[in-house]
Amino acid sequence: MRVVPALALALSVAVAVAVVAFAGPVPERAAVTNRPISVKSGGYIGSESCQACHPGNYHSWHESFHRTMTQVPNRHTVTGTFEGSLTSDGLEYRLHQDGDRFTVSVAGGEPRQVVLSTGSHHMQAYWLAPSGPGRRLGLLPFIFLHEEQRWVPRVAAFLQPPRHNGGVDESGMWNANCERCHATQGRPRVTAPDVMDTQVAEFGIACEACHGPGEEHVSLHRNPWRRYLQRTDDEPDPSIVNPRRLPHDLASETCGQCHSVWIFNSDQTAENWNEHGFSFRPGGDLSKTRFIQRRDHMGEGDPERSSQQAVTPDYWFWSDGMIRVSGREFNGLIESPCYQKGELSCLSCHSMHTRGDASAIAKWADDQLAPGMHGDQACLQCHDSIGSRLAEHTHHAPASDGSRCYNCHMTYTTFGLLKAIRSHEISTPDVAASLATGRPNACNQCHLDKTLGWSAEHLAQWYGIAAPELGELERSLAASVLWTLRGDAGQRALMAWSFGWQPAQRASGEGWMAPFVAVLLDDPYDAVRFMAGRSLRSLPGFKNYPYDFLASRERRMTARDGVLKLWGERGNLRGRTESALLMEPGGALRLDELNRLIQQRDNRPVMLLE
Amino acid sequence: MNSRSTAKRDGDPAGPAKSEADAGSNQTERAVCARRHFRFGWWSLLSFLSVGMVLESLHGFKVGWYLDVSNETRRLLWTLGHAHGTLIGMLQIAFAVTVNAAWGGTSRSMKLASNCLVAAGIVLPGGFLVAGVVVYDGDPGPAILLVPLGALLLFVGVLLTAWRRQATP
Repeated sequence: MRVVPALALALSVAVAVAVVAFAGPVPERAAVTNRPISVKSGGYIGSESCQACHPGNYHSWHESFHRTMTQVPNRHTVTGTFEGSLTSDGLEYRLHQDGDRFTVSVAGGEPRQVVLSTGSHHMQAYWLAPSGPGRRLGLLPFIFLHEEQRWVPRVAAFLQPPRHNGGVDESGMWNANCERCHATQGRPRVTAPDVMDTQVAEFGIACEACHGPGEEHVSLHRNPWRRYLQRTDDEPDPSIVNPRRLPHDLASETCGQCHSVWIFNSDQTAENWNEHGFSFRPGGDLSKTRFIQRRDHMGEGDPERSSQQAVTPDYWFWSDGMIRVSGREFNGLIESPCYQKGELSCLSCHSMHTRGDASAIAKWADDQLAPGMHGDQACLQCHDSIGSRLAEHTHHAPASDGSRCYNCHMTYTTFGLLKAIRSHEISTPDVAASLATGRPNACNQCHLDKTLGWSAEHLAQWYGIAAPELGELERSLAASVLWTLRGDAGQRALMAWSFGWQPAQRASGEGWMAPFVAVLLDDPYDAVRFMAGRSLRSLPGFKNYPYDFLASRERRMTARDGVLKLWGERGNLRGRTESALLMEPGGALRLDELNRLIQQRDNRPVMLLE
Repeated sequence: MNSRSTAKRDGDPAGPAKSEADAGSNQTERAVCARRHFRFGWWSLLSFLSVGMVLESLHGFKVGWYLDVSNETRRLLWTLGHAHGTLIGMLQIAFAVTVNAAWGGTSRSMKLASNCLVAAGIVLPGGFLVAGVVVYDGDPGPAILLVPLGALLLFVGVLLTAWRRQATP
């Protein structure tokens, strides 16, 4: 008789287990109607499926900024302070947080829910629930900067000509553009004019973005025997892609699917992406579906190009075709001799996974460099012979900044995230290229107090690089002075950053820099002013100098004049008397010459699309 | 079926005396077996207590080889090895008490149960511990194959003990 209740209990437990196992969570498609949704299809099954077998790799990915590139907002993922209000161009944006729900009211209107966020490393942008049918998002015209812990207008966070911030951008930018690389296997799914039913496999850049769809792999490897056999097999597992086991070009294309300037190579490919997502899979040939902007094609039409808007070089490239914006490192890599003649790949220096304790993983997450790749080892792994004769090669003390491979061959000539970033086109210092393109060369970006002529002379003497013909100004004034005062916004941005770069401060001295940084405090471009303010605070005597890059013109000029006055009064801050730095023999600044050079500023609009 | 009932059924005239001798022999065997398991159980407890102290030290010194998320399989296996070893050590003592006070089976079944439990006490936690030395991401090392063997031995040992235990000592 006691068997019956025991059987009933066992049956109940079995039914409960079956319900939990097979019913699963409520599909997001049904539960969420006000934003793009995650739908697993086409063999994509999501990163959770990887965790059980690859806990270490899952964990390091989970701690990476790749994962958090797009997030559904909650109190743990939102970094901005949602309280009070922001005002821009006469519109008031009231921010409100209620637990995990974040809303924005524009000009006293109905609160709109924040439904997605972009970024988590340096800054975070916010996307609002659609104002119309479908899942097309609006963009809050403010960005929250993490280091500064402040909101800034979105237009101020990018290098672009001064312009109005505007209201909420309803153009569906996330659905049509951002999801390409800030989510895994996104598809915009334009269903009607201005209506999008956007889906992604997973928000953020997840495992399958680099390893390809995992369904077959997971299914096959539920069998433990297969798992153990695979451990002892030297051949790659055909059911999944491991970029590290790919040839260097294909491995790099895995990263290049996002980190490049490209367009679809045909209208059909673009249409297919709209409905089904990218047809490129890691390990495949990127050129089959995309046109990667190459130096050879710069400024030319391409017969294979689709009818989409052609790439506008000025937005991304220096005039000689070197990439000048961040996040597009693949364009630089593929133009590098180490890639073209050698086997350099992204994974030569970077690793998408790491091991170690929390602090080690947090440090790695900043740039995802592989162990030991922060220094010369990255280059010496191939150029090992140089390591034993470093000083002979660099003509700098072996322990100095001038002997670091990166500093000469990967200079800070790309821009993004409100800072200069190392170029990923491996190059040699070249004054002729600086003259032709306006791009700072490695010598003058570190030796900010030296002229182009000085660099050309040393490059000729040390390496036999032919010195180009230079004008009077290039021979008499420090290159940084010329780029700061006469350069275009892109050059000024790099200089504004370089004045705060510690190796440059060590090589050039800091005392003379303040007047030139002061000039940039009143630059027309928000991003230039932002970096000038940051660099100013790194100079002696100005650590706590009050300056707001978004303040009114009048207040900015007051701040600029204040810097000049303070610098003039404190002779110990100067210490330099070179005419190359516009200094009088007594150390005073040649203000008339400075203002004359500012009048020659290259005011062509510069817009860098990160 | 125990030895006493066999003697009666065979109608051996020397039955009672032999039964007494058998009983004496059985008691000796049970005492030997109990001592074996007391000894093995307490030494097991000491061993796995020591393993526990080592594991605690790994926690104390935050040893990444044990604590990092990438090594969670090792941590799980060694925790399981420690827990199983300790519990099976206690089981050895419980078996010794049972053999002494309430064994109702033959000496053959007692020896079989004893051997199964001793082997399980080595193979099962040992399998976990050795399998944790070299792990493959989420998969343990090949020594994990010892664990199902140990589990089978443990099952047989416990089954025999449960089956041959006297209803009332």
